[in-house]
Amino acid sequence: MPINWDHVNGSGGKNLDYSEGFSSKGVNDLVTEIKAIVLSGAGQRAINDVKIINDVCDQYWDGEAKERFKKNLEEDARIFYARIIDLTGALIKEIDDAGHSYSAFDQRMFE
Amino acid sequence: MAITGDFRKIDTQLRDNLSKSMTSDNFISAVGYQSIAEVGITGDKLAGIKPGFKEKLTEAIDNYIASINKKIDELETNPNIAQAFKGDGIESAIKRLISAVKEEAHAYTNELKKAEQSIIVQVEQMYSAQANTVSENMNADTSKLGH
Repeated sequence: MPINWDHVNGSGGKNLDYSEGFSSKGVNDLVTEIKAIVLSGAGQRAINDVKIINDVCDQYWDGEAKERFKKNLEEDARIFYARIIDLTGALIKEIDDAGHSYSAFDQRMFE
Repeated sequence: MAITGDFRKIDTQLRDNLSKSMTSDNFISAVGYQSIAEVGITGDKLAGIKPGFKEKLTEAIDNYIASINKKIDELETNPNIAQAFKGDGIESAIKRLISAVKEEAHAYTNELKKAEQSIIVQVEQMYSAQANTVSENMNADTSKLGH
């Protein structure tokens, strides 16, 4: 389950500012930014821009081999997209784990 | 007081397993189409391939790969990400993601380039075979003229 970052420093996940090693960027903003680049950016380009290659094939190449190539390329683009979704999910999990560590550290600080 | 976090609890197993399963064998482009020999040679022209195909295909694929890589590079050039969380745990997690996504993109696009190169080689072989056939036919026709 994703961590609730609010308690980390009371900032609602925004503007985390641990002077010993942190910038002021919020966790949620960071994850959103990474998702935008990896998934909405690279991943969607990989899926959508296959059409540009396929259009060239349709214009210059006829036959069953072309259809097979196009089909496989579309499938590979989907595989690539699925893989980077999984990798991004792994990052979010690792960030959550780090958050739990910080949370535990905070608890020790106040005890 | 210096704040140092204890990040030993970060579980990287999920990403580790993903990395282990990352292989170019996941992709089928390079082997999926097998051969374009089926387009064949009929008469005096290559059936199925139009002039300019090789160049246009290479251009489209190179642009496609560059577009994906350019976006991925933003993970390293985006100042919000680069400057975020200069702590052991999250900074290294982000670096691992960047490295893994780059490797994944490389595996994918590398297989695509292999497929493209294979197609081009086969097209060139067909052109060569066609040229030889035409040449042989011309020689045969020419030799008949002398009789």
